[in-house]
Amino acid sequence: MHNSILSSRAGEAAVVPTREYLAFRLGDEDYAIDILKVQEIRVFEAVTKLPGAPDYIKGVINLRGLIAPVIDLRVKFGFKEAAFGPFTVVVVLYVHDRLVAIVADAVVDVVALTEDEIKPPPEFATSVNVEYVMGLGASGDHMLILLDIEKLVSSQELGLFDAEATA
Amino acid sequence: MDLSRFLPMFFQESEEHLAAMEGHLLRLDPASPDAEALHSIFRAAHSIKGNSTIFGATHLAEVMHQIESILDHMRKEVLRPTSDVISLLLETCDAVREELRHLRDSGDTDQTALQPLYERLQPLTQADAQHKSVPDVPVEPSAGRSERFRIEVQLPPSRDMSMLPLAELYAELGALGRIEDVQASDGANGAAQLTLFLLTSERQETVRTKLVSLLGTKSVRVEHNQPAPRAAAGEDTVRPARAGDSAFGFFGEERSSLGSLASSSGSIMRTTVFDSTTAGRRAVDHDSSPSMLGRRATDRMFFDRSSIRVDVDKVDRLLNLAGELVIAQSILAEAAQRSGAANDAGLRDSVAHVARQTRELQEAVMGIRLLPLDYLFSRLPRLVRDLAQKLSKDVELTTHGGDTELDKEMIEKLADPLMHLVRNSLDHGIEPPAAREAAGKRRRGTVQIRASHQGGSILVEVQDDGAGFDRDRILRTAEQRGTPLHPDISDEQVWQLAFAPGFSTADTVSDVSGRGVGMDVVNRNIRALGGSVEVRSQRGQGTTIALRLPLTLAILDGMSVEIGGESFILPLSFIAEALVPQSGQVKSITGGPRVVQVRESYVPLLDLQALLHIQGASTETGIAIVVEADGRQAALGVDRLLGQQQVVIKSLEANYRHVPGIAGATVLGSGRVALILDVNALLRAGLAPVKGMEELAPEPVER
Repeated sequence: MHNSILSSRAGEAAVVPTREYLAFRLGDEDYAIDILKVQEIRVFEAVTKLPGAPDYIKGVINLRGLIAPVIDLRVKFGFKEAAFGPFTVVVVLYVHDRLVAIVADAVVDVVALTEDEIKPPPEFATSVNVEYVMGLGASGDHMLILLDIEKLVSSQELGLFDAEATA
Repeated sequence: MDLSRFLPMFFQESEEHLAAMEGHLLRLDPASPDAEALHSIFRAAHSIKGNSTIFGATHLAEVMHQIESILDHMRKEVLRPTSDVISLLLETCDAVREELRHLRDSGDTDQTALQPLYERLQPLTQADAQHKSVPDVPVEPSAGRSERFRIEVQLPPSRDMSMLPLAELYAELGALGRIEDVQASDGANGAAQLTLFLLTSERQETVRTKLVSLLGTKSVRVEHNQPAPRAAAGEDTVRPARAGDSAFGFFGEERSSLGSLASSSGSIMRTTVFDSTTAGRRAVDHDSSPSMLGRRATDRMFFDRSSIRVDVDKVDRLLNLAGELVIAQSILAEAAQRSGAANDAGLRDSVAHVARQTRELQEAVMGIRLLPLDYLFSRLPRLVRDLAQKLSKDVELTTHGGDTELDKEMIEKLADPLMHLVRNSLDHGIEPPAAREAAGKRRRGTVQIRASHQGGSILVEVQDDGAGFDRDRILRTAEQRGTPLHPDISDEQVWQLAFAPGFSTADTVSDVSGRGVGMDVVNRNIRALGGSVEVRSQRGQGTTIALRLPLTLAILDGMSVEIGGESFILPLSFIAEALVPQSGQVKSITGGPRVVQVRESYVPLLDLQALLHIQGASTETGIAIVVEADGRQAALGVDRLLGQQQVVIKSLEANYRHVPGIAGATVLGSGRVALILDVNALLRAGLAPVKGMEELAPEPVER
């Protein structure tokens, strides 16, 4: 179990600063984001569609009186399948003073990674989406794709913010 | 008694009293002053006087005392409330307000502003010196034989003064007769005693019963026929803070040099006559102390509202919680329904009860943040009056829609722009009376302020019948600035030019159109609030400046409709009618755009499917809702009407972005989000643009 590996490792090298990441699954890939950016995890509920929104914006949901958009990164990343099942969740993030929810097929774990454990992302010439990958890590035998969620959410490409709001 | 903890109350109450005085002063008709209004002004002044005395601000008390005297003369019709007199009184209100703020902020007195006023007020107080009719001995309140009672209320040690229902006590006793004096003293072992002197024609037992029922204590003593009250030695009296009385030195060493209060404390007795003789039973000499410690229930006029200050964040949190509760409640109701408990009458009733209460709670919480625009409009008469006088213009101000409610924060931010527009209208819009006459207009100019709900926004219009914008001069200036101009530029476009950032500087627009100083600023402020400014102006006829503001938190009356399986909210104020088109009533034009026949006319049917990218929005079988915006009509096809409801507008932009055609979002009872349609934007997008506005179409109004 990767949990035990992690904890023993943490014990040996307590001096090395570690950060915690929330690992979640999109299709058959595992992604991870800085856990400090995560506000809550909710079951996927029906969303209200937004007129004229791109297909990866599923719509908006009510978060205790606040309206937050729901982003389906599976669609954005061009996955073949983007189904909604009983394990589908939304991870509510708080970035740039905004609430943004992203759809995940499942939440995997919370993992602690030191800086050395994070490998730089490969440099592909073709994929735009790789731009938002901070690095690659490992959780057991799974590869974790660390997302720069701040960069992604505020990107012009995702178009979540009004043009003037993204300085 | 430690009175310092009442200081904040003193300042706030005094502000309220001053506002009340101003309100009444402004509405006073010099020809026949309303006795009730005079009474209210008097009462407000009297309260300030009393409170000031308690807190040792004797110079304020002194000025208020003068105002009382002047009002007394007015009431007796020995002094006319001429415009000059009213101006002086208003000026005094300002000075007193300034002084109060000064006291509050620095704890020091500053009499430089008050002293001259005091001297100007002085002659008025003596206007009737020769036929002075105010008796030094109080007039009997009724024809019957009245008696003076000395009432002693013993308070148990645990109850301090602030716990006493003083306001009610005063109101009750005031209704019985006239309260001449109140004294409070600290008795042995912490017990307190309140001594009142009441002049009444009622029987002793009646008075006693009243007191006992009110105070719920048996320790009330009512004695007969006491001599007129004079502060007994050794008693710590509530009211008479004489100069040199160290117990009231809250404001440091600064003692009033305006005069000793000893003289005015005697006159408090005299002035109380005012109430009982004019208003008979309404005579409640509402003395200084009760207003400090409580509020009179009968005094519920607009200006006299009392208030508490609460952090807006707390209110917002409360609002969100109430919203969540509504949702939780409807889930509960559904669960109860499903479990077959519908047959259980008791449970069904409870669920219905909870539903009702929850909604009421939500409404009440929503209401906290909202204030009527009257809050803002009430400041305008004063402004108009002062300015008109200064500019030697004759101007009439009317306001409409003051009950339109708007978020408090928005109201505060709207204050400056609105004042500015009114000032501009008076300064540059309305011509001097002679010029108006020459132009064939009434000598008296009018400024109208209108507020109304316009779906997703609040519309505040400032309209004057003055000279209007000068098109040619604006165009000339624009040319000088090198702005490329269309030869057939419409008036609307010209006015928009005047609002262009940097255009409305003092040396361009104010020269050009006679306006513009700060118009740019108004425009910027309103835009900062997410609103827009529109100008309609006609040379020689006048100008209307419309401020369109979003409602961050305003409640909207909406019609919930279903389009293509999704719920949308259509602001009720846009809806003209709804109809079910019969076959043949919907016709297409040149094979494309369709119209709905509504009686004699054909109304364009907007293609919501295209405008909002809604799949499966049908119109043939559905319902056509005729909406109206900016004087144009269009029909929207919806599948179903779900019902009418009040919704709270939530911002989509807070976490997402502006969506064309959508004014905002709201949370329905089910917890689902519903989008609020932006009718203005839909009409703009779906109908041909208004002629001449193509290139210079302003930014979308709703956000």
